[in-house]
Amino acid sequence: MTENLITLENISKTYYGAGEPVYALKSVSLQINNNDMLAIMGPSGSGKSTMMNLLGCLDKPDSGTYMFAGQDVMDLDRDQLAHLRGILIGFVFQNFNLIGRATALDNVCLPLIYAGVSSRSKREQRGRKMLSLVGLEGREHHLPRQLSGGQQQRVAIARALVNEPALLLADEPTGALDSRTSEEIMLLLQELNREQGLSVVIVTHESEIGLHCRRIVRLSDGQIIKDEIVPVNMHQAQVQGY
Amino acid sequence: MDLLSSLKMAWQSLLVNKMRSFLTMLGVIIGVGAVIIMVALSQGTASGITDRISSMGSNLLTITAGGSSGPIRGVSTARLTNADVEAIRSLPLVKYVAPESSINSATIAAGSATWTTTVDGTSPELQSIKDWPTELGDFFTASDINGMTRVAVLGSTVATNLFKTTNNAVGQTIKINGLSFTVIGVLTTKGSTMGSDQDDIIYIPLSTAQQRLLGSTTVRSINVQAASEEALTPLKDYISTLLRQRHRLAATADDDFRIRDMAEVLSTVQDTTKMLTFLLGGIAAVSLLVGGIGIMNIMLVSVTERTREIGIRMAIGATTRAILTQFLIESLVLCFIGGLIGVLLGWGVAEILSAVASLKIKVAPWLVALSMGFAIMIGVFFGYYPARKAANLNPIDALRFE
Repeated sequence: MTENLITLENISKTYYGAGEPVYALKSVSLQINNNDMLAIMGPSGSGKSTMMNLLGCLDKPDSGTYMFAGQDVMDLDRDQLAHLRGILIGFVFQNFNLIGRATALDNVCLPLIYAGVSSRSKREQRGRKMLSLVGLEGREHHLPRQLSGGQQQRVAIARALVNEPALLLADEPTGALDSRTSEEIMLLLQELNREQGLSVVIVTHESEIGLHCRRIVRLSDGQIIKDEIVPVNMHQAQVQGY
Repeated sequence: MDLLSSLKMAWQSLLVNKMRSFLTMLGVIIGVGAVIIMVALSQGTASGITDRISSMGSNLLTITAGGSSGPIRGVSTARLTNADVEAIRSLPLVKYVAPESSINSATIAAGSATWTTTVDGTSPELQSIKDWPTELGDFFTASDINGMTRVAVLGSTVATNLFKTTNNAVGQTIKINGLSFTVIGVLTTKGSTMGSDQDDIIYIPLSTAQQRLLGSTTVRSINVQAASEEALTPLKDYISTLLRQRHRLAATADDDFRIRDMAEVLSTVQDTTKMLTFLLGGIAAVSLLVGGIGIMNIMLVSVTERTREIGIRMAIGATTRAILTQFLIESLVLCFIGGLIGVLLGWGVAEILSAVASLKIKVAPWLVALSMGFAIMIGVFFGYYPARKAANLNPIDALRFE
């Protein structure tokens, strides 16, 4: 694996709707290193969501270069993108996006099915390990509605990690949680970044969340206006502040 | 993505909306059930008619008085007589000749028991033509015809109704329309076809019937068994020529008799029932098709409802094919289970019908295979479009869907 996990060069994305074309991203360049923990911040309409969709390989840029773990994303077709998402990227969403009729364990194991792990016992073993990693031992057979918001987000994180991805991509991961639970989730993400060497990208508009990261990239009007390192003491302070 | 996980996933999502899944399935259940019942019913009818016709005897020609084209069919001054019978008997290619004259609802009494049935005056050859052995005693013989004896051979239904069991009937005296007859034999049980009991009959010598009960020397019909199947066509011509000659018909006149070839009747009946099978099966298949449209409708609703779920699955690595397979399997599971229930339902109704209506309805294995195959085809055909719609969703739009 190269030193850079992600390299974006002169990425542009324009949406053509009914009215004027929307220039969501205008020639953006960005590098994300392995083991980085990065917040992408900005007001709504700044291109945050577009950035998230492109980083998550849910969509492809119109122009520019996008290398993910040494692979040229621009060359991949729909199913290759799906495969890359399944193997290399873990998603965490604001509203958890768990499948309601499946148990916590089944939700966590789902990416393994799509990744082609055909042995059920192997999948469940791996799923249990992930659930215990996020502190949900004993909740394997609970349905999402039987869990609290924080617990549901932990299930989502376990699901995101089950294929040992290179990147965890979180879209407003604490948006639906109270501040105490938010803090717990952020501590969990920090721990995963520190202990497991996982690269984390968080899209958020909350500045406290940004301060939990090592680096903050600020977007405005489809362009990066600021790319700053969070001082270690602030970063640590947030950790100890809880 | 392996099949077992797909099946489990499909099953789980069908369980979420149990009522809806059941109602969707109902279309297929009714469709498959209808196909099974309709086809089994028409096949049962066909085999019933075939049995009945072949129980009359093989290589059989039946001659009745009255032309095939008259002002009123069957009402004719023309008669078949004993002399006609004797003339036919002397023709080549003839194996057996059995004339029949019957009293349709004769009152039978034995002691205090009474019964109403058909009394058929005939000749001993009838037993050979119908290939119908006696269970007890004997059929009457040529000497009974000559001697005009008052003897009767009972069908098993008549015997049980008059004497409780068939065992003690032989040797008893019965009264037919007030006239005493001695029972000399009881026939084996043939069973009933198409709801009419073949064992509800009494045979007596033709001469006795004509002289003592009917008071006429005409015969209602003549059964002629040909020596072989090939002999049927020439024999038909011989009989026709002979009877036209004997009845002194002008060359331009129509026949005053009808010769029916039972093999021909049989093939006509079989053609008709085959058409009936196709027709009824076709109508039932249309209802199965409608069931399929119901499946498509519900699957489309389901895809829309689960757009967000589809987005999640795509985000975590589901390929187009995986989503397509998932929804296709859901519709297949619906159709397969619906088909199974439909087969059981159709089978059950067919069994009940065959018990109630004494029809020989049998649900053939090929019919089960055919209707299940059809149900599965419906599942694939009507499930494909919704599944494709799901698989082609844009992951971003799907994730954002509220």
